[in-house]
Amino acid sequence: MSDRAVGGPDHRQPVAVTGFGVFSCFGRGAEVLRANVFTGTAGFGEVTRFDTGGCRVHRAAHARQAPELTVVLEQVARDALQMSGRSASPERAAVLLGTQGDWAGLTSFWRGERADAASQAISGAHAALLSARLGITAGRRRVFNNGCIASSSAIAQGAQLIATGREELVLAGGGYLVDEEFFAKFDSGRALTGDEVIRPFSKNRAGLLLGDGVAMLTLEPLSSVRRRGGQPLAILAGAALSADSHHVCRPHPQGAGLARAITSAIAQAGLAPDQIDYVNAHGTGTPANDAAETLALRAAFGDRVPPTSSTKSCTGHTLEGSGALEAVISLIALSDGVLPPTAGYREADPDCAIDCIPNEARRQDVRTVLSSSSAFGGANAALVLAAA
Amino acid sequence: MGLVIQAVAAAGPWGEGVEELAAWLAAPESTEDRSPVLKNVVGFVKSPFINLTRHTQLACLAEHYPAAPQPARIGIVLASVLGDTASADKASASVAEGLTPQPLLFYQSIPVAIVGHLSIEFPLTGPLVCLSGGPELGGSALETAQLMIADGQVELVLLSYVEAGQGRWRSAAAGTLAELWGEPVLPGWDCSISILIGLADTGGKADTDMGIDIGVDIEAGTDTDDPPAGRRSVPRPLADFIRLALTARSRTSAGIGASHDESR
Repeated sequence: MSDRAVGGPDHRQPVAVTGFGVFSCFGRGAEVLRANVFTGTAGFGEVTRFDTGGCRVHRAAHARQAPELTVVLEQVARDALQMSGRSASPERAAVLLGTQGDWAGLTSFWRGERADAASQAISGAHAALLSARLGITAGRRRVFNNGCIASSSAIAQGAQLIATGREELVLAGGGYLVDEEFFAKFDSGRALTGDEVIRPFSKNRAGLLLGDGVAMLTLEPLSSVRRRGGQPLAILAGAALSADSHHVCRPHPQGAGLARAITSAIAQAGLAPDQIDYVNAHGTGTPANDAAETLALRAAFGDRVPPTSSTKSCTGHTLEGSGALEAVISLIALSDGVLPPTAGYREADPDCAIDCIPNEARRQDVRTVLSSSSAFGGANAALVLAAA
Repeated sequence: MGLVIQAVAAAGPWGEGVEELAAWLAAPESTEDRSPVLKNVVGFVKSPFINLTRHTQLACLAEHYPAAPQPARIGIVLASVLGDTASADKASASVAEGLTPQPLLFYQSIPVAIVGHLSIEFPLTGPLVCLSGGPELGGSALETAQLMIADGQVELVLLSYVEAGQGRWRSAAAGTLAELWGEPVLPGWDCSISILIGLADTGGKADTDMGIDIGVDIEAGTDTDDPPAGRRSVPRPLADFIRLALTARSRTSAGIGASHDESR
């Protein structure tokens, strides 16, 4: 695809994705993600990271170890920089993160295990902490905490900073690691399913399960990448955010806000809806989300909704990290020409009448992917990635 | 081409209003606390953060839209160093004690919840972004708003700064943050400033170089050796929002067009 074919209005320069780093319940790196998410293997198990004795639900998709968020963010950022071919410690880079911070540290504080506030428990400190760990001394540092669209928002703004010539290198992403406090809160809100796994878009789906997810992308001007002889992984062609203006914790029943974000992101990419090959959906597995998201996709794509899957069926819902993790999964789909399935799918639901790639991955030429996210407050985000 | 400030609302120990804020800045530290008593937001557990956010945001929108509100392509950027710690603390303490946290406290402790509430109440359909950070927070929020408009996503952005709530965690975090950044970043009082900004109506479309020239440093926050006004020392994030608010006031009083009617 030519530089002009995607990337939005003429005055914006195309934004290249040149690297990524990722950590999920399956561990660190793309290979374990590929081996599991792209084979429909769910990562859910009994929670061993903390005691869930007081909860209704006891399952999540977390890694065996209990890493610190600051450590994992540094690891995936270094992986992203290495893949991009840039310096492991660039002097200047924008660091944009979507995170609520490390709430394990907060729980320690409230248990009286420490009297001071650990800086990693404060969300706003994370971009500065990560920059310092990477030796980055200049560039914008921002932390987004608009719920489950936080890392999508970070990536979207990273693209804006590159497209408008304000930065030459952006590290954008975010993360969440399954923690006791958020687990208890989601459990008390009866958002977690008592099922063994989550079953997005499936009849009788009963809710979500949480998962570990931390991911970072490197974004650069496509022209700079080509000048230094680099090879972009993809073009971040469109990004848009919207509000439902409907309910604080339920999606718009017709998916109106999400449809607006999807439509805007596709338009910004300079594409027609029928040029999107695959949708990586928000697909939480809650009855309300998946039905509303189906209607949003129908509003945006009409009768030709592209093959769509929810990879949360394998990774769990990684909250602030989900937009970044699913962007990485979308990049792998683009590079491998494989559509990851919706795992755990049992039975068609007339309210979710889309091709949700049930249980089996599908080999297909993939040139464009749309990734959607939604959050509390009726906030929505959509990203469009295109083959370079 | 640039942006103009269309409306401003401020509430805090100065009371309500930009004139009151300016007077408070010039007053001795011991000035009486005139913090407004605000109604609780229906559907939310009582929280000064929630109440202050909604109050200044609605006041700002009401100044710009005196008639009944219509659905509008307005984005919201909410900046807060620590967010709604009062709501979060209650839920955290419950979890630490092995009790079941109240679900409502969880929802409302995520800052996008009250922003989403306003987007329903008004109603607004643009992007909803919440930012936290350190000394650079004011510049980050302003540039985020600029980028939303430059992108053509919205015509106006409601830019808000809120810090509210006291308690053990907040006190501990204030010390940690001051150590991290080498300067205090949290004010010692509850306050909120909301500013509605949009394109100057010059008939063209957005370009990528617009900005409000008020000296707000996008990357680092503005140097605190250059306080916005008066005798009080205020942390950088708040100082940058005060600069924006006072810029609007001075432009309006000088008749150079910050008000809604003049800019149309």
